[in-house]
Amino acid sequence: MWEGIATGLATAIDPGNLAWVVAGCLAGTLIGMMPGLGPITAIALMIPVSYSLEPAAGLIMMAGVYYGAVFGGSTSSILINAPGVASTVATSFDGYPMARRGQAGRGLALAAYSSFAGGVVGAIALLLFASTLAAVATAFQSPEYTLVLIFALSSIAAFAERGQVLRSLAAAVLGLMLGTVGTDQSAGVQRFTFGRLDLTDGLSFVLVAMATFALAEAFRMAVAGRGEEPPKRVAHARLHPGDARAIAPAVGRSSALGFLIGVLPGAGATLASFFAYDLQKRFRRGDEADGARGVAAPESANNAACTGSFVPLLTLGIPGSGTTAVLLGVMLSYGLQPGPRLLEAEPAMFWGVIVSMYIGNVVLLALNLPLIPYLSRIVYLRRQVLVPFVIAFSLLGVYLTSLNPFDVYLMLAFAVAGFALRLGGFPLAPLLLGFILSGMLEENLRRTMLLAEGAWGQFLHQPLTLVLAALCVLVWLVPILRLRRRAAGGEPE
Amino acid sequence: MAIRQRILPLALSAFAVVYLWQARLIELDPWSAAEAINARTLPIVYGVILLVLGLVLSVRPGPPGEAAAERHRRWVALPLHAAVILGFAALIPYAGLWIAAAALLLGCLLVAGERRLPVLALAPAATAGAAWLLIAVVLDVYVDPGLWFG
Repeated sequence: MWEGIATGLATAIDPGNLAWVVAGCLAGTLIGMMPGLGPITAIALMIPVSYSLEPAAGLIMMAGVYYGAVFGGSTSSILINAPGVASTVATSFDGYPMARRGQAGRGLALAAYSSFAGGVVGAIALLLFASTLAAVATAFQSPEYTLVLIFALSSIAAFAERGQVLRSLAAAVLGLMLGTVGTDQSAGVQRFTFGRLDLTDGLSFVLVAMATFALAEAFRMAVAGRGEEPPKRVAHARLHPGDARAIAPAVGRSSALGFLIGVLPGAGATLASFFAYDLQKRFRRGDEADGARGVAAPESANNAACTGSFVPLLTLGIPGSGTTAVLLGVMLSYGLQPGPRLLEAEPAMFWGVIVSMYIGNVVLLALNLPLIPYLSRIVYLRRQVLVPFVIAFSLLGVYLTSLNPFDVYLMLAFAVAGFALRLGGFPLAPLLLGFILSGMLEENLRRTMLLAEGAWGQFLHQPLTLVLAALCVLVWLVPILRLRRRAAGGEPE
Repeated sequence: MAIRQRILPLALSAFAVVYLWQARLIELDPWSAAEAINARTLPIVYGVILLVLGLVLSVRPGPPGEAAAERHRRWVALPLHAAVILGFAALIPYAGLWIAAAALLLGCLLVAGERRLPVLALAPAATAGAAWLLIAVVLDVYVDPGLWFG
C-alpha cells in the first residue's frame, strides 16, 4: 500500500496535475456557488474540458471540481439561503441565520475548516481501505456484481427522502430504460433506435447528464424568475476565538459518520449532512446559541461522504451517487474500467486520484479562505446572465463531444422532460444512476444466466452471493419499516 | 387531490406503455430468444415496473413537487428558450458552430430579460470568440465552418 501511496503522491504532485487540481477546485467552487447549480452540474459542465486531458489529470481535476462544488454550495447556502444541492441544505439551517446576524465571514470560515477536516478524514480513510476493499472485490464475478448492482439500485428506495420512495424508484427505472437504447451488446440487435443511426451507439451519458442537470436546471431558474435578495458583501472569512475548540468534537464525529454513510450506495452526502446535523442537535440540545457546530457538523459530514462515495466507485466500479455516476462515465470515456482491476492496471492513476483528494482539500482551504470575499461575489450574478451562460455552455459541451446537431434536439427533449420531472418532485440523481448502471446490470445478469444455463439458483450458491442477496432483501425492509412506523404514529407518508 | 399531481405519473405510465409496445418489437434471433434473459426481457421488466409505479403514484401522488409554488413563475421563458435552442441547432449546419453559439447566447440573454446593450453586444461575441480560440486554435479540433462559410 505504501508503495502505491508513493506512486500516487508522485502523480498528484506532478506540476501539471497540481495545476489541474487548483483549476478544478476553483471552477468547482465558482460553479457550486451559483445558486441552483450543484456538484453534478459542475462536473457535467466540466466534462468537455476533461476530454482534452490525460486520464489521470482529467480525473484529478474532476475530483477537485467535486470538492469545490460541494464547498461552493455551502457558500450560497450560508449567504443567501439558496443551497445549490440537497447536501448543503442542512448547512443553511444555522449558517444563514449566522449570516443574517452579520457573521457571514465566520460562517464561511467554519464551513471551510469543517469541509477541510471532513475531506481529510475521508481521504485518509480511503487511503487505508481502498486497496483492502479492492483486494476483496477481485473475488467478485458476474453473480456478485449483479447483486451489488441490485443492492445499489435498491438503496435508492431505502435512502430516499421522506415521501420520495416511489418517485425515486420511478426515476431510477426511467434511467434504466434510457440505458437500454441502442445496440444490445450481447445479441447485437437494435433496441428503441427507431431506425436512426444517431441512436445505434445508445444515448451518450454526457448528453443525459447535461440535459437533466445543467439544461433542466437552467430552465428551472429561468422559469423561477427573479432570484433571492442580494446578500451583504463578505469582508473576510475568519473564525471567532474558541470556535476551533468548540467544533472539534462535532467535526470528528461527523467526519467519521459522513465517510461511513458515503460508502453506502445511494445514501451519499445529503443523508450524511442531515444525519450529522440531527445528531449534533440531539447531542447538544439547548447548547447551540450561535450555531457554530450546526454549520460544522453537516459540512464535515458531506465532504467526508463525498470521499466515501469514491470507495464503491474505485473498488467495485459501481457509483453510489449521481455525482460518482457522472465520474464513472468520465472514466469509461477514457477507456478505464473502474473496479478491482483498476488498481493492478493503472496503479498510478488509482492512487493519484486518491492522494489528489487530500491535496485538493488543502488547495481548497488555501484558496477559499483568502479568496472567499472575492469569490462569493458570484452569488450576486443576475439570473438573466447566469441562465443564458449555463444553457450555452451545456449545449456547446454536448455538441463538441459529438459534432452532431441531432444531439442538441435530443438534449432539449431530455431537458424539458427533466424539468417536468423536477417540477413534479421527481429526483433526477436516481435517473442518472439508473442510466449508468443499466448496461452493467444487464451485462452481468445475462452473463450469469448464460453461465448457469438459466438456473436462478446461481445467485444463492456461494456464501458471498447469499450475503449480498440478504442485503438486497434487508435494504428493501428499510422503507417498509419506515412506512409502518409512520402509519403507527399517525403520520402521513 | 389536485388533478395536475396525477398528470405526470399518468404520463410516465403512458410512456411505459409505448416503451413496452416498442420492447415487444425488438427482433430476436432463435438462438437468443431461447435464453432465460434476452434482449427483450429487461426492457419488459422495466416497462412493467414503471407502468405500475406511475399508476400507484397517480392514485397516491405523495407530497406536491415544486410546481405547487408556481405563483411567481415565468412560464413563457421555457418555450422561448426552447425556440432559441432549436434555432441554434438549425443554424449550426449553415453558419457553423461559433456564429450559432453567439446567436444562441444573444437569444437566451434577450429571453432572460437582459437589456443592457454592452452585455448584449460583448458577451455573445466574446464567449464565442473565446470558445473558438480554446477549441479550434489551442486544442486544434476541427469544427465545420458551415455551408455559408465553407
